[in-house]
Amino acid sequence: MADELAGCSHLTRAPLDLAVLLDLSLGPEDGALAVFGGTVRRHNDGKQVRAIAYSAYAPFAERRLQEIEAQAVARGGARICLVRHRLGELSIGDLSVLVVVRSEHRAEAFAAARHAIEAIKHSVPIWKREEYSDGTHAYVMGCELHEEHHG
Amino acid sequence: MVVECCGVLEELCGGSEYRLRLPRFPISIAELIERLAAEQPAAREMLGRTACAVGDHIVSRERLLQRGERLVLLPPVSGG
Repeated sequence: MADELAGCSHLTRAPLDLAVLLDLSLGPEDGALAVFGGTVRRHNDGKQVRAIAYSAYAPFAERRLQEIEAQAVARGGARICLVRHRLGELSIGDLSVLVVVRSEHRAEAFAAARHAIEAIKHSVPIWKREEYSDGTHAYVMGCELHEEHHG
Repeated sequence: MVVECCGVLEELCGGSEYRLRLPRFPISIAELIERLAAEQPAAREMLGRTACAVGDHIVSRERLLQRGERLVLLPPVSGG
């Protein structure tokens, strides 16, 4: 698995570190900072979730995450957008995804952060498999990928 | 030919790599998927909702695969 993520800077098996992204994105002209984090929830569809295992098609997912950062800036008018997604088995409360946006004003920061997380959910080849407390598991059926999504 | 199965297809096809014996090259992705569905009927419905990639780009099912190319099957995604 280590080989699979070689060269990937936006996908990691290690815990996500918000402080690192805040430091990386810091700029003196920014007056706004928007942060979105996705965390593992204890329940879904009436079932008790014990953990979530995230997997990805790494080369494609890495490229898409880089594109999403650039698109979030271009469309939302923010100065910088950084996104990171974690893979592997996560426990309840663990961060699975982080979006950090900085801009001059808040409207652009909110817009870019929203664009980024929606794009991550709809167009990045990442899958979550929910592990339930009764010992069963199930993949979450999300969004179908289409050719136009790869930009 | 080895087909890479991601997400739920890994379970439905019995592993992350599925070896498919093909009669000739080039062969369309559509025909390859039909052959896979015939061998793994439990995966047929999901294969209908699956995108196909070669390298890091999604390709259409009309595309012809050459010998040695690697097809990756991407079922509906659920990141975030």
